[in-house]
Amino acid sequence: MNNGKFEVLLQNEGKKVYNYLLKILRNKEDAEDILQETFIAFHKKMSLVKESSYKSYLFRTAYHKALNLIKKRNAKNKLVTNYHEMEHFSEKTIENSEQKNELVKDALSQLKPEEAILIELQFYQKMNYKQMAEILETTQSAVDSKLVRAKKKLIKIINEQKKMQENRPSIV
Amino acid sequence: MKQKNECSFEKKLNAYIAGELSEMEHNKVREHISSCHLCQNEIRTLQQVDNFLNLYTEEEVPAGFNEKILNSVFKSRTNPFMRKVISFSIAASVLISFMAGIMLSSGLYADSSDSNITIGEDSLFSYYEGDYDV
Repeated sequence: MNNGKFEVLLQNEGKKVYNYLLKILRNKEDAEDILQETFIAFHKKMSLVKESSYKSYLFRTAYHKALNLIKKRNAKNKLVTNYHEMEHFSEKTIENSEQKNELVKDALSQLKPEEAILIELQFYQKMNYKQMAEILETTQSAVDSKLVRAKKKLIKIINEQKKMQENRPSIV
Repeated sequence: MKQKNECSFEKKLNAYIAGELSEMEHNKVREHISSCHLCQNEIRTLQQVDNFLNLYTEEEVPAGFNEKILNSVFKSRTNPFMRKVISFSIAASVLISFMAGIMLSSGLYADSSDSNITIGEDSLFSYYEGDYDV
């Protein structure tokens, strides 16, 4: 009965959830796996979810699944990977959209998953504090203070990225 | 003279930009910002974050991926209880067929051992003795 609605939701929100996962997981295969798991889990519970909460439920499911995956990853390996990827950026000029996307992904993946999802929900999904608080099961004032902290961290990361760009050896 | 480097309004700026303040608070913060350089700088910094996040262009979901999800959902659409019932029914029918086969075949042998079939040794002898026209 809900299959039509499910297909529409997949068409409308699939890309948004996929991009959120790409930004925090920085790996297409992982993003695809979690996206698939998210929609399958959503379909099982769909009849219990209010239609107005579909999007919130999807993002909450994706967030928790991504969080589990991040926890499973070896922290040491992750740091090494990030370091190499940062080096890789510094050897390139940031011109095309793929490189710009990598810069944003690099910055967001350095935030805590809880901070990254708040940035995602506010900036990319245009959600208000009330909706964000519902997804993270917290208060609106907690959302505000966590967002402020996340943005301050992002500013530091952006400045570090800029420094790396400036210090990179020029390729003749 | 020590220069002021913090402002009590700073904590409200994120909510102000996001439009999360009440109308009264919003107006109060707006009025304050017009005369506070610290808050003006902070807003410029927050704007920097927005500009940075704007660098991101949405990537497409890989081709055929939505269909893959729909297929997975379709496969898992039958509920687990019904799947168990179906499996049990199939197993039960196979078992019943098997048992019925055994019973039928043993019944057939029982019949054949008790029956009085007339084609016996006499008939064969009759055949070899030329009682039948070939």
